Amino acid sequence: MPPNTSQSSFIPKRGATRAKRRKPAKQIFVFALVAYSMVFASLLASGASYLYKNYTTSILQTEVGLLNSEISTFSVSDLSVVSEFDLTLQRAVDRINNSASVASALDAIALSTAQPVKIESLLMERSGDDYVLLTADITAQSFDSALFQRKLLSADPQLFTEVLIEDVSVVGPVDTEQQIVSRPLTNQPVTFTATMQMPIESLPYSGMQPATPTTPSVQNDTLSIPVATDNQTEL
Amino acid sequence: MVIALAIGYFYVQPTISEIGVIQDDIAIYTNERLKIETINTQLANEISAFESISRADKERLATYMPRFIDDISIMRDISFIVETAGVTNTTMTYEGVAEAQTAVFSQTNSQSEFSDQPPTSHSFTVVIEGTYEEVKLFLRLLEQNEYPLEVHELSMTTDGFNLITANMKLVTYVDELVLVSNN
Repeated sequence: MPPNTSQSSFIPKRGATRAKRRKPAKQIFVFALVAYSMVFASLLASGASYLYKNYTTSILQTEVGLLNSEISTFSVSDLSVVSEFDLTLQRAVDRINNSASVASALDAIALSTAQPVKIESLLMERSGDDYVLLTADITAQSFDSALFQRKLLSADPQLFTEVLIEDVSVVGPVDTEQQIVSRPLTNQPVTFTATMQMPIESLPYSGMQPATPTTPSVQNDTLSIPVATDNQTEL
Repeated sequence: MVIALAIGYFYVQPTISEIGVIQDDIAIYTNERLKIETINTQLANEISAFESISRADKERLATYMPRFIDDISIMRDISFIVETAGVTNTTMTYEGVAEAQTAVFSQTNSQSEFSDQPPTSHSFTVVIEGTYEEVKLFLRLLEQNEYPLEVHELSMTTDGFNLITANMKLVTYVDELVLVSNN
């Protein structure tokens, strides 16, 4: 009787080999499962992305519709009306704020002029919206009057700025030779040109504010509104 | 698997990209719509405020800052003031535009740019004679006019007989505006 080699041999039997052959089939199944899953997932993703794209597109169309609606609501003519009115109003306010009263300037000059002093001519020039430049040809009765007038003009730096006295000269008598002898040089008329600036804000309209121009801080009894003299009209 | 990859590469990925672009567009459109909504709301408020202004006030403003110069009417008004003040008018001439500055309002200009531009000024030369009080009254009446008649130059001289000759340059303003639309 032959010995049972299959049980004693250390070589694996065939049955074990058959069991190993089942592994490739399982891998194929896993691969197929993964592949099917991916296909399914891709189809699902395609459908979801398609639907979401349609959704976002519809939102976009809605937004475009709303934007067009807002644009159609916007009125260029209304904007023009409002803008032009606002511009006109701003310009009017600007002119009112930068208005200067020449009559108030004359009042201020009158209050700052000593009575014996005569203003022969007056020139006023407005320099933008900053100040009014005044140039006055003034005749004083003496050097003392001229000095006092200069003091008055320089007394209120808020009203008169950059005061400049120039072209000072003594006017000799023209009638007779006797007057030269009888009148000393210190008592002869002195002419000079006064140049000064008056800020626009210091010249308010009388209708807007009380017509009380800023008076000089240095005043005395001789300060009054000029009156006409015999042969000259004072300003 | 290849089909899945192909679907993902050729359809899903471009679709997602398109969705991203669409979402960006939505954000842009929403932002712009909100801006226009804000502007429309502001404009509606401004229109409401504008309509609340009385017609008389609008007419006063239009008189104070007219759109066009009417030199004949202005000279007539100055003549009325001359008569009221009792001075003698010897010369009155329209000198034209003193400063050629016309505001151009376009949609590219900001509000501050064109609002800084001053109105166009027109000047008149007026020579009057009268007493000091009459001349001053004339100047006061000019200030009470319904539109600005600013004295930009004034020369006062005396003739030695209680009469003053005042030579002045009067300036008034016109709100000339050229509306330019980019649409």
